[in-house]
Amino acid sequence: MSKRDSVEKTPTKKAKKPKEIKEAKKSKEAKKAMKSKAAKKSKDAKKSKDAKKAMKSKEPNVPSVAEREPDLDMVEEANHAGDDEQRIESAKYATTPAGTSPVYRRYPADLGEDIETLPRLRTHRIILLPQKPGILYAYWGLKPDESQQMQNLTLRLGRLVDKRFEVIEEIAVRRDSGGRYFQINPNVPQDSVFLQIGRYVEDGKFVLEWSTGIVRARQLLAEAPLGTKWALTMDEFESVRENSALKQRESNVSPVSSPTSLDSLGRERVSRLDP
Amino acid sequence: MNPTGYFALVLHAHLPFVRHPEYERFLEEDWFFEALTETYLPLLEIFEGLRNDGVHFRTTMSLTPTLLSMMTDPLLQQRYVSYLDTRLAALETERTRTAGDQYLGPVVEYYQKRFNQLRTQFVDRYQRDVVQPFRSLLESGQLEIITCGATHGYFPLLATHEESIYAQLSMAIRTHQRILGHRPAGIWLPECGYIPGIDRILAEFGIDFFFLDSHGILGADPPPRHGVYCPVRTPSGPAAFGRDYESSKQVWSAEEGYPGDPVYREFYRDAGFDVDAPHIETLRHAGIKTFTGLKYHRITGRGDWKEAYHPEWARDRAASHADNFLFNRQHQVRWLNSQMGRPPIIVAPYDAELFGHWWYEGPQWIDFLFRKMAYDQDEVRAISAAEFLRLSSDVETVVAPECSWGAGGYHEVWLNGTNDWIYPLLFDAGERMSRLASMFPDAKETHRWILDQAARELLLAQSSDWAFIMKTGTSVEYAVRRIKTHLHRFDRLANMLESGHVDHGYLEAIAERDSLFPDMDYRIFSKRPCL
Repeated sequence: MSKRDSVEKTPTKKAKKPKEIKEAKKSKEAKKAMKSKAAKKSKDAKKSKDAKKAMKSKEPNVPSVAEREPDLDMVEEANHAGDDEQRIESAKYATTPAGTSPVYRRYPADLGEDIETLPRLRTHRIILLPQKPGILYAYWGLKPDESQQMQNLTLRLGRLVDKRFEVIEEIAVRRDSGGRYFQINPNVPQDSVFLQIGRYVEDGKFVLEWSTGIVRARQLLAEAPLGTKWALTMDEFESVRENSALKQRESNVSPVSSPTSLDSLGRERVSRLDP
Repeated sequence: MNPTGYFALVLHAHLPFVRHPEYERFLEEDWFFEALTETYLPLLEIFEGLRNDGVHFRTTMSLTPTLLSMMTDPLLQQRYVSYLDTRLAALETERTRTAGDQYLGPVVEYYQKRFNQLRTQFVDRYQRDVVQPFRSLLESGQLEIITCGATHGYFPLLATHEESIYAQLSMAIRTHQRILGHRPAGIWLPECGYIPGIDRILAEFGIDFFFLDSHGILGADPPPRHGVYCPVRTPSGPAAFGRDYESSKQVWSAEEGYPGDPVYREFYRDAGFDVDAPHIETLRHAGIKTFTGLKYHRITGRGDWKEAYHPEWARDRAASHADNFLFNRQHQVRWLNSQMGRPPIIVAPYDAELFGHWWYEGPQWIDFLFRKMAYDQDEVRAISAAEFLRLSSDVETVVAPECSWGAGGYHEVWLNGTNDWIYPLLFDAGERMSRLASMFPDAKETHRWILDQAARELLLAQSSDWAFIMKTGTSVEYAVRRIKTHLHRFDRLANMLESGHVDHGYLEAIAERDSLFPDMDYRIFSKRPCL
């Protein structure tokens, strides 16, 4: 196992499909990029891998923030970047090599604490947390046996449109507590989404017991949206990360093979690399 | 000097509070000892070297309150000396074992020399207090030290209980002032986690700047004219700096980043797994094979075959890589300046522990980078975030969006099937703490002691590290145990207050264990937090 092996074993995400790339191009910045000469050059160069390589080797291609278009390689790199960082950050907490079984220890009892019995929730609780664009986490916790006593409870996620509650998805509540991830349209404003627990009565009317929205910090300016939207969709996010970077430039480090085991330590040195 | 552009190196140094006086030795305390050995002491060594040589350099560095608490803890300081001594003793025998080995022998000699240097640095020069040299660098202006959440609580997910964010910030600033002697101008938001409205809270605490991942700037409303190459102001005032993805990638990327070079030291090969001998056994914990910090091999290439590590080759490669990095930054600022009509700032933030702990030669790379930047060119100049803000008069105001620097760019690392169970418990405990703070607005003696300890337990439970570890799977058993323990302790303390039955013995025992933040004031959790 090595730093490099750990890269190999990470499942690679698929490169974005051309259609998705097209959609990403629709973003404002990409549109600007399409207009720019630099972007046109870049687009032409993408026609073949060789052309791209040739372009990279000729001159440092450094489009500005406003002049770029998504590049397949760079988008994929952006996808991997977060994984790399997560892996490196997790090395802080590593006590064994990657791929080996984590250390298992029995901790001697300390202070006679029964930590396995988690504190009981003090009240009814329903929570709605955003995980990422298009995904919300919903949690409900009722008093013991409440889900049985209050028969036919339903958990439903919906959005408020023109003072009407439009149900996005609903499920039957069969346990006192539980969690569920809901998928929604990422363009739906966060502050219009609500989670409800209640029950349907005979005439089909929904009797609401508890409700919550996504709780977000109050902002200073009244006109500022109260967490109304995600910044970007996931596709846009990948595109934006790519756009924040300048393309990989020609390197001034010439490829040098690693010293071999036949080298005597201290006698042979890797040749110094001059710019 | 009028540089074409500026470069801001930002290092985020953080570890969760791990201190177990109840055990003679505790495996997870090694996280701190390894980081001291490979990151914090080497960084101080290079920063002091640069200062002594009169080299211009600037670094913005966050030292989190938990890390500062561990750095100043006498028990951990004493245990770190033991950590060094046990390694030095083992290395003495290792030297005999590898005496005839032309490959491993010199590496063992290198480690023996290195651990002796570190011991001298820590014990003789710093008198076991690594905060003092950080403070000295802060006072001489080369290092700008910023704060973070008190226990690295992840703000976007704590926002359901806003008092928790106030408490995290309040305790962070108190700790920063107590230990470093000054009020922080900036903050590293835990995991760069941001939601609109955090800027308002930061402004209330007098924080002037923070950092966001690139999409947090580029996705702002309106989109900033200069992208991530110029800070922006949030509606409440604090400025946000955006990460430059390219310079980050050159270091972070495992595939094409510098740390993956074949001559660099291999992180995963360790004598704790390679050597079966009684003297190595002394470095293990209760016979369990774990990392010892003695890593004899270089990356070499893919596969299990690894060749011996050669520090000098690696050092030369670090110099080449620093040269390459600077070359790319020169081109970058030249281009950006031509587009922007003003000097850009390249903000390159990293986990500090990447340098040294993960990438062993990283501190040397920083050393070479600043020396080359100072002497070999005049286009790129090192600058701190606060200095750049002082130079910037026309900063745009935008509404930055919800974001983080975690994988995927949002909250998935800290909210997923492995760790979502913690949030209802954290929110419940948070609300209960705020209720107790309101019930006892001016608690004295035992009540005060219980409330302060309850606040410590809750802050410790809120550390984002536990959720992160559950997701990444490195030390899950420990992370789960920690969060359950702090929630359990909080619950028992709250019960004591509500029932009036105080268990002094228990209170004393947990106060000894979870001993950080001696200046705790539980009212940081009240509805009107004391700032």
